[in-house]
Amino acid sequence: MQGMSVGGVDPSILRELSGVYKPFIKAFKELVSNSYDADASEVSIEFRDDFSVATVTDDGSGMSPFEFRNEFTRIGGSSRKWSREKTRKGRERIGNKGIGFLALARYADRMVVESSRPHEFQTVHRIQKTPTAFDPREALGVPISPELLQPVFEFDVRKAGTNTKVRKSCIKIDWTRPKVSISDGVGAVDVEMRVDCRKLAFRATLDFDRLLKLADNADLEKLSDFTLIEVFALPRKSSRGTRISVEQLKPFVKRELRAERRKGFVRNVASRSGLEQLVWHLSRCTPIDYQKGLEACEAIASLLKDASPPTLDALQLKHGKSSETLRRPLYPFQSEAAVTHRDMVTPVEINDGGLVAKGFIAGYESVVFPAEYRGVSIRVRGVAIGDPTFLGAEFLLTGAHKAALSQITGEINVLRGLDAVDSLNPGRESFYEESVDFQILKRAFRGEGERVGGYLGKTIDAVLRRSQARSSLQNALGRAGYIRRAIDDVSAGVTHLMSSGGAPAAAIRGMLKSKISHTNGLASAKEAPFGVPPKIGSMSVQRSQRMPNAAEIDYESGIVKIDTSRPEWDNHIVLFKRRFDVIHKQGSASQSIAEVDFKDNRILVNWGHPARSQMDERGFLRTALAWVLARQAAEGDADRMMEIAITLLSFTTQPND
Amino acid sequence: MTKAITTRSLLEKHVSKRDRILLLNPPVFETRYSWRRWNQPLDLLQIGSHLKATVKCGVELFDFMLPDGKGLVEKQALTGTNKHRCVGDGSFAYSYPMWRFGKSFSDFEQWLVVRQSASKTGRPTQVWITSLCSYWFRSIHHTCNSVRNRLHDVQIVLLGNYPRMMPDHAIELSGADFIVTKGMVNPEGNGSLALYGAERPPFASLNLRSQTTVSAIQRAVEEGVHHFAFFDDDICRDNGEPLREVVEKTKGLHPHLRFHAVSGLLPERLTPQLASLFADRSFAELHFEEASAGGILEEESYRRARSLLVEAGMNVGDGDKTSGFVWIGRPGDTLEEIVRRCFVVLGSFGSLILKPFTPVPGSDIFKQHDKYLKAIQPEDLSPHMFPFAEHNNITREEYHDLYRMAAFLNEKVRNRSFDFLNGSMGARLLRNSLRREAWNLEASPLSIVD
Repeated sequence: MQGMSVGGVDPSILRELSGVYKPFIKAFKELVSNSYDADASEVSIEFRDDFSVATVTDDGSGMSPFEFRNEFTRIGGSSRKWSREKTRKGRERIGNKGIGFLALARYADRMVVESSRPHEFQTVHRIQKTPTAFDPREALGVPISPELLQPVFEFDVRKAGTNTKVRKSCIKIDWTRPKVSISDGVGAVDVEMRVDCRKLAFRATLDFDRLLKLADNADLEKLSDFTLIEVFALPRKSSRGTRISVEQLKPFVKRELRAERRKGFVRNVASRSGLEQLVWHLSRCTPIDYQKGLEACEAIASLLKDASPPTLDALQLKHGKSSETLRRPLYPFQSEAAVTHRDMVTPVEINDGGLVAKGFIAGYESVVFPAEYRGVSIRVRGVAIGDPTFLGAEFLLTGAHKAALSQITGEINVLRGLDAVDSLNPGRESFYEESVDFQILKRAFRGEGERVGGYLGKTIDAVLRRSQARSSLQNALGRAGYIRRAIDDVSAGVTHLMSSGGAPAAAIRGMLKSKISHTNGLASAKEAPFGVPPKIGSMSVQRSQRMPNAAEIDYESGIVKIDTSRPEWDNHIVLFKRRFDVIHKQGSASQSIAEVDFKDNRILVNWGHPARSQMDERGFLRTALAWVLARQAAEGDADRMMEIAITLLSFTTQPND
Repeated sequence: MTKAITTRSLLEKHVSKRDRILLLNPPVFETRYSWRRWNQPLDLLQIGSHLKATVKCGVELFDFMLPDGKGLVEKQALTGTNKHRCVGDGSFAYSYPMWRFGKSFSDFEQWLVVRQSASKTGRPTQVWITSLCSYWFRSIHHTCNSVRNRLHDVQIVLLGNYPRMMPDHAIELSGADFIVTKGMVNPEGNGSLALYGAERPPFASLNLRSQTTVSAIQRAVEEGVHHFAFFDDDICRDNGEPLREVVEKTKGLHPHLRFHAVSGLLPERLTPQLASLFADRSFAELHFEEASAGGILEEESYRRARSLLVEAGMNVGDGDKTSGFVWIGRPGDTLEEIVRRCFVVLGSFGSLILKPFTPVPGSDIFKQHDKYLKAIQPEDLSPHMFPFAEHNNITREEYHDLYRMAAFLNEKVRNRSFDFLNGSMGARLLRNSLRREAWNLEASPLSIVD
């Protein structure tokens, strides 16, 4: 192997640029991005058992030794050339800043690259002064043996800037040294060199450990052994593509990958094993298909159908005996995800000023887990830019609106725009605020000013609307249940008194034989608002029977159905064998707390009585019922009345009271 | 107005094909419940099978006393006025914490709601509630009340021992529409467990008098039930032939098939053949009734029974498989005699179970002490309240001391001590007895038997 000079950039800058990719996964994904840009269909990642080596193999177009030197390892070299160019398969290139090869410098000691590409490499080398002699290998920039180069090398010499060829007689090439000599003094010349790479392959080793140990003022030109390369004849039956081995991964990287899943109940990705976390993050930031389940969630599936850029056919990850094909995980497609409701899905469609983006934002009735799904993932060229985000909306919101963010997830695929050099930071982890495309995206996403609107605002409103409706419904059901419990308590209290026998039982029995009405004005008071409410929140209430659940909310039509055949909506009380209607009245403070009508089997309860302010609804109802029954049964005997009332009030059917 | 009818009248005149009958085995309000593992409404199962087969009406069962996954009936402290029951005065006073054994009325209500929303049939037209003990009437009254609150216009019928033994009380205070005071559907039948639906009980109760016991066992095994309990008065009758026939005809039906003799096993009835039968591993539990006649313990019966069991190869000191009941709370009790019986039973079977006594209404003992018992509140006739405490001049505290003693004795007695007993009469008697036996006593933990 021979050294190969790289870049001409100060090593301290190289060191800084390598720090752009944090953490390990962000750096590692660059290798997959490279495979994608090379039009690979299938990419395979294999980790050695002890995680000391990671190898990425693809079936892409590969590269020649010259492309490796000029493009793979060139700082900034690819940006102008690739930023708007598509691959042969029509893919928008992911890598365009030309620092990808440095991504893993901090995480491993060494990287070995093996590849080949059947193309004709061309380059023009200008020589200012003739006559002259030069080694063609120096001009090519890649150390290659004369025996290997000679059969595949061709060149022409022209007067600089013209099509006029220099006479062949004054051009000689000595392959023993090797050297090209131009004997004519014709001024500056352009030497156009062509190499047929069809039968050439190479293996290059980048020594990151050496690179990062350099002092700030070391001259990179002197580091010819930072990258060692060996060019050799391509074996006959070898397959095309590229193989990159990242060797001697740093101890902290191995430690992270070996980390075990946290014990006990685990919900978030951060609590999973190191390898599981790597798989998850890699699945989210590489251009691969969505996981299966697309069909299961139609609301989302239809929005993503035309919104995804081309992807790899397969991304495989192997470790030990396990092997897994990676698919991009999406919260709505997880088996443990909450139900995705159509009214809580906000389609995203942006076509403004050169920015085209499509996707969705979805709200849920419960907090989204794993927490790593919260926020909206923005993908450019199929690769997520940074972590899911709310683009700063979280700093503008407070209270329930802010809390709603934990119930929101989404995905936006940028199909055009946001891919210029001035839009994304070098590590493709965030957007530049000053980018015009980014401003358009932000405006559409969360609106303008200090109030959060846009697509996110709509989703937050949907979450809160549901939350408020459910909360109001729970209040209504809870209240009805509470009232029913009070009635049951008094009914059971009467049963208890009857069972106990004696004078109180006889008094109750006597009372229940009555057919007289003892009402005194409460009957004409207006009804108090109990029973099934006409509306819950802003939704109309529809009564139903025999439903599987106590209530159902139909958010799309704005109707709440309540099963009124259930006990909580029953306002009757059974006293021994006799059944009474319990009617809630809003009487005046001067009227009695309750009245009994034994003729029509009604008990009227006065919710306007002053005692109401001293206790909750359940306590008041029990007091009212107990008082009126005790009074009727006692027939003027104060002691008897107290005895009955206290027994009824202290009797409860619930163990936790 | 509540009416008293017979079983025959109920089945012939008060039920038709169009009815939908809900059978309820109600919860129990009690201070202690000895049979938390062994409650099954055999009468409801019999009657339910009969209704389905003969009347062909709709029949469902809700068993408040169905054991949970651990094989125990649910237990919850009662609240408010029901939390404690104070019985007796002066030195005989005792405050009993009261419990609800069995599912709650909320569970029943929820079951009705689920049934109503899932079922295509209508609400029940009749609810039949059984009762095992007459002094458990309070929970029956509350069950009636709960049914009326949830199923307003349903007809309620009371069955079982409460309406039979306390008909006037049931008519006046239960709130039911009908009470059944006479007759049984099929006293020799076995009920079908199919009434339980998908939630099968962990065991099936067997009636040895029935001709269908073997087929009942076969059916139950097919349905996944492998434990069977005998509740007859005398399972060793006719020289044990009916029992032996059942065991032999069901041999090999299932490797985990087990019989539990929880009542009706009389030591004096034991024969060598029965002893061999009991020694087999298919019998998981043997609880021997007290052998006494005219108030005198038949010690010879115990010695003979133990000898037969040992000869049959049983490890009688095992304590887990064999035990003997000792009555406490009977009229005429003395503490010395109770303790003496405890030692006889312990020496014979390795473990003892104290069985509190209450007279059956209408029985000879009840009639004999009629005047004394009439002064007691009906629910205080529960055996756990020791209705004869004042009569015997033994305080309730002392009776409860006996439970602690039994718990202690059921441990390995040798090498344990009992300083916790705090000088009560029971403790003194025990110490004296043990001294006479010259046992070596050291420290031991405690547990209550029941």
